[in-house]
Amino acid sequence: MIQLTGIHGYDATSVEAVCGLADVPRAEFLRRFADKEACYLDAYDEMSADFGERVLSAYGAHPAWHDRVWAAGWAAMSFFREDPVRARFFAVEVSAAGARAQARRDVIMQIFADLVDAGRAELDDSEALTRGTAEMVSGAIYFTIQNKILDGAIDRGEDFLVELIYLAMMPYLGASAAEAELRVQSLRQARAM
Amino acid sequence: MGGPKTISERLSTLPPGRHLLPSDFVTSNQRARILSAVSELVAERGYQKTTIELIAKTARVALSTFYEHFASKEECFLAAFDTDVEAAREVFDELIDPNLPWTEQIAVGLEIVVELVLAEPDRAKLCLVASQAAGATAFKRYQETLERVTPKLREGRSLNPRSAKLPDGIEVALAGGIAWLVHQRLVGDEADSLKELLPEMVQLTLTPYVGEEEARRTAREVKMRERIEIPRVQGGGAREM
Repeated sequence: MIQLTGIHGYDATSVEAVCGLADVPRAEFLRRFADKEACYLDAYDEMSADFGERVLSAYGAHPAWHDRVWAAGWAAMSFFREDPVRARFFAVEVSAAGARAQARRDVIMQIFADLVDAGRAELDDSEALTRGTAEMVSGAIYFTIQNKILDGAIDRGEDFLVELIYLAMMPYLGASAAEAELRVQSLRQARAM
Repeated sequence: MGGPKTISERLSTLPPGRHLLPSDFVTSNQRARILSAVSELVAERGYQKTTIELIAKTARVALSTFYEHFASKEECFLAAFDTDVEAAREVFDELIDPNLPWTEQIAVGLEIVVELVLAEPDRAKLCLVASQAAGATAFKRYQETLERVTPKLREGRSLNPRSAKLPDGIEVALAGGIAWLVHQRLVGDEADSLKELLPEMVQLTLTPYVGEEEARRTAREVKMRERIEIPRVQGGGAREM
């Protein structure tokens, strides 16, 4: 299911194709899963538990919000880079997999928004922004990741983490401080030369 | 006498079945009813649970009539999407004065987004929620629609002396972030809350280009002024093909 959905998309993936690739009879598939959607959800749940554990562990390992965001970003990007097919299954095809999948995705997005929203403590007045800003930032990051996956940037090994860090930090640390994060990328590239 | 009728009002006054109206008008009215029906059904049930049979029934057309206009549910959906995006674009073109300062154009643009969502929630759901679940082609249309705002946002780079360092994808990311917030509020039936969030939408969008102080100032002005009025869609506009 993961391979076929991650390569061909959820709509183009059939139960027959999944059974064929997994080399299991259709009866066996139906013994385990009511339908294609149930199979997708089962795989998605396992994957989101893994993703969540990695990102939240990384986030929680640092006291300062700035470092937390970087650590969580690294963990998320590592997850996507390890397997671009899995990345598409998880971050892109979830939209096509039905209302239940979308509801699960939305829960993850709200958790992610919570991590970003902690940045309000960095403001002189933490009430100056609402959680709505964190939701917009999360949405901006998610849309960027989706586009990068579909564009093949992950397959090509392109590093766009610093772009996501900029988006996360800009509302809370300010434009100048967020731009300073972009220079981390330049320094890293210069050192690699 | 009242103002021009909305699309819904005009469509509901034409009876289904045989009559003596010109065939061109009947054809375009049928198409408009089908597009209106797909909007309504997708908003209520989602794309996957919306069937051609239901669309035809809601539009009060025969199944054969549906297939005279569209080869598939997807084709119908995409036509509705394109029509709604075009209708929104016309509103933006009408209400955004290109002679205004760039920050003000962006603020007005975001205000129009909020007012359009509140005025036409079904069409907003079709464009911003269902399009992400309606297959690869629909998602591509959604992406392309958000990308179309990037040239206007990109104009802001001329206001930022450090603009060369901004990520290339910042504009489309910001558009995606706004769209996600609207998506979430539509899904949660909390679209009204977008009015209160408008100043933050403005502040977030402007900050990369003019810095947080000026972005905050513009956001405060948006908070204090009277809401923009969205023109009613004329009968010859959006859904009438």
